Amino acid sequence: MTPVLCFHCGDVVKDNSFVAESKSFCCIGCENVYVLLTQSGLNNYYSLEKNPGFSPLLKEDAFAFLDLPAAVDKLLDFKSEEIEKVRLVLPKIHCSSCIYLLENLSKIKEGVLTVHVNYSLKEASVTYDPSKVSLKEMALLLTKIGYEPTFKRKSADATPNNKYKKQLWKIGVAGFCFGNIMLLSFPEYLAISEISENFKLLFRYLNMLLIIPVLFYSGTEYFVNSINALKIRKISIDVPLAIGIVALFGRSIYEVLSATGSGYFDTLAGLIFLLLTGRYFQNKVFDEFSFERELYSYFPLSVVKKHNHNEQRVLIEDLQPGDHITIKNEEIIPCDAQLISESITADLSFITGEALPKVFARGSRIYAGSKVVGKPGEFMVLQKTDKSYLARLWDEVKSSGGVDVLESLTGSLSGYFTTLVLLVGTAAFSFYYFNDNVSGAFNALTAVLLITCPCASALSAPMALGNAIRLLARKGFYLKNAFVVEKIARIKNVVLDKTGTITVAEKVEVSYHGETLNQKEESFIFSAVNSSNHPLSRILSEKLKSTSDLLLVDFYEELKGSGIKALVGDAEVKVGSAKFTSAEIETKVDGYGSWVHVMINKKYKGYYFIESKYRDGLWEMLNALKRNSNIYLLSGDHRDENPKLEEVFGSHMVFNQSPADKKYFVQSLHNSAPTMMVGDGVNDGVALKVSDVGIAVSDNVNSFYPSAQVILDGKMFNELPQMLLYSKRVLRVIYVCLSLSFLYNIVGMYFACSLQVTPLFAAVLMPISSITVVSLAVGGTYLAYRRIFL
Amino acid sequence: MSVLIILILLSLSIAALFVGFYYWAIKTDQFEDDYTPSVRILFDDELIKKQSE
Repeated sequence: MTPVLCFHCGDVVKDNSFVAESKSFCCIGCENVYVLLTQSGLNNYYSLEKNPGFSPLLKEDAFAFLDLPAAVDKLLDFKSEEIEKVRLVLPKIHCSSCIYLLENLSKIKEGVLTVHVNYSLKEASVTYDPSKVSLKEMALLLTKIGYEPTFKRKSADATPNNKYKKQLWKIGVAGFCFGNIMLLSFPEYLAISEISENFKLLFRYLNMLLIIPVLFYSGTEYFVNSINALKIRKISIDVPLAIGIVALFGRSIYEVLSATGSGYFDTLAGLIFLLLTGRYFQNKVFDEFSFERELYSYFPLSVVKKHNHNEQRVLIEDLQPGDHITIKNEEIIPCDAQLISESITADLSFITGEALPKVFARGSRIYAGSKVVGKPGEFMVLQKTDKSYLARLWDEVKSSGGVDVLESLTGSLSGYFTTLVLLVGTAAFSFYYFNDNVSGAFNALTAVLLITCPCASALSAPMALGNAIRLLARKGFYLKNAFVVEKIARIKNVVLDKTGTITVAEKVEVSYHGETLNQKEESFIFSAVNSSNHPLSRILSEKLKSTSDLLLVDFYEELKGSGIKALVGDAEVKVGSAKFTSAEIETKVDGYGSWVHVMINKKYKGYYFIESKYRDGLWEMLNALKRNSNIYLLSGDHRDENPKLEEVFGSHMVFNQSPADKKYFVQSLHNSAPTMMVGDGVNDGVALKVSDVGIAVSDNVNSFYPSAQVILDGKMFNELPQMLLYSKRVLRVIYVCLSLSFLYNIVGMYFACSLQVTPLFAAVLMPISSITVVSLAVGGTYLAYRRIFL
Repeated sequence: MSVLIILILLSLSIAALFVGFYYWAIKTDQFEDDYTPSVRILFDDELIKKQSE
């Protein structure tokens, strides 16, 4: 029998109580959305795609900060009496039905004027009438129909769009000039003799005119980048390119003005056009991933401040030391604060890397970035957000990195190569110059420069690396720039963080061992642990929530370090340590973790075993990784006794590490051999920075990654060894390409030095060498990708 | 042969016209989103029908 699927969201319908117009739904939320949409005449939502919706989640108070006019103003793009415009990020946009529904939002809600969806960015620009609908109402409506908006603080990220426009325009200009130059060069290509000399000259001068915008508008970034690199005494990939461009340009101008030839304007324009296009696509891939996020994007926009028994929402920037704030379940504490209400539980995994939440007693200091779990807490602000521990950690991460310069292998190779070319050029120049052949000297110099520079070193590495990062991005590896591939290829040590990296963040596995419990007994346990704030109780109650009922607890006592004793109905329930429940059996399960023993009516029943959930396929992955590199485990958490870890890592395990400890550990490894750090969260930030390659593992693209060079989709974590292998293969492809172009260059240089470079010779050799090298680079990296990943 | 002058001018101005269109396309955000318009065009029909009912 096929299960009935919810007409709205496509989940399996468990209970047949939600039916409307003979359609089944999984929950009241989905049914409501359906009724709302059909009443508004938007039935087409369901005909465009099958089960297109999302089961709506409604968090109370989620948009409470939108009651604050100051917070709303920060989000708006445009504001006047009659209309307001806002751009909302709606991560759940996923199909054409979504576009249909959102763009017809005005039919559901009066006051919404227009909605314009940008599918690729998962954004919607909404224009609405603030007198009829508020931003908060709209956010609630969107959440209700399943598209919860996420609000981003507007910061520097308003500019990238303009950057892309400028890039497109540069490509357009280069393309226009390139095409026309080719057209005007046709008579030269075909050596048509009927055309008079005057026309030939006209064509050449027109070409000269057309190259000017290409060089001085489209190509400027290559000069700017090279000058910047030279200023810090480094040769970047743009330096040989810039030299090649200048040589081509100078030689061409000279040839045209002296009427000795037609120049190489077509080659020059084509080169710049292709390079710009390549760079544009490369940048596009990274559009969605910002590697440098602001610290503030992690925090909520506002918090509830208590002032003379009044509760009031304030922006977190406006918090002052001494203010009292209330933080609810699942909310993040925005500044270093002191707990003034009763004890609470908080999740510190982001700042320290500890897997399980910790209990804080009244009066204890708690750091910004901690997340309250369970009961709400009241805090007194100690430091403003920008002075908090987290902010300082963040600043340290940011400031410890200088300019990201190219020190990679192909970079230095092309550096040597550029020097070699310049040397050969000068040698040829002086040879002819001292033999009284001045024009021959200039000829030889420029010929050497233009024949060698552009194709060889400049194209092979960027093309191979650029293609490699594009292919890797398909697999969920997002590299900050192309040269990271080279660094990865040389990695000897791999350091892995534990919490959130090799384990799945915020997930634990709970298993029960012992005498089978019936539903009633489970309800006893659930009722006993439900009111406790201990992290293990929270996990247990989460596990039992769906299968058991909450019963009345007559007596309740929580003994610190032991467990809970409770009277539920007529049963006495004891939940806690082995000693507390007088468990007679020795715990001899495979693995490690936390044990919670259960005793009901003085009879020992069994125990729950709680362990961090490792990523699927982790062990195979680690063993594969071990074959080619040394692996280390570095954790901020307490010692993990899992024998499997011991087996894989041996003695290479360090626990209880603070962010600073992690940094020193990685630094010492980095001093001996290239080291890769794989981590998540800000607690690994400094360690990621000092490593040769920092990889941030992320299960959620919207979280932030200070100082990482690679962002790795958590789902693809197991392909890490393949990525290392692939990087090595890519490097090999580059070597082959470089050797090939060296070969071409030796031939080219021989002809250049012996003054045999005719326009025809150059016209044949230059495209052939570029095309073969580029296709080898692209094809080689693609073949390696297919062999390793597919 | 002097007809070439006219042809060159013509070809350059046509090409310049295309650059102009390209510039307009960039200005009006046509490269911003290459998926939504292809879907949106399918709704319009249906919307007009609804309104005329």
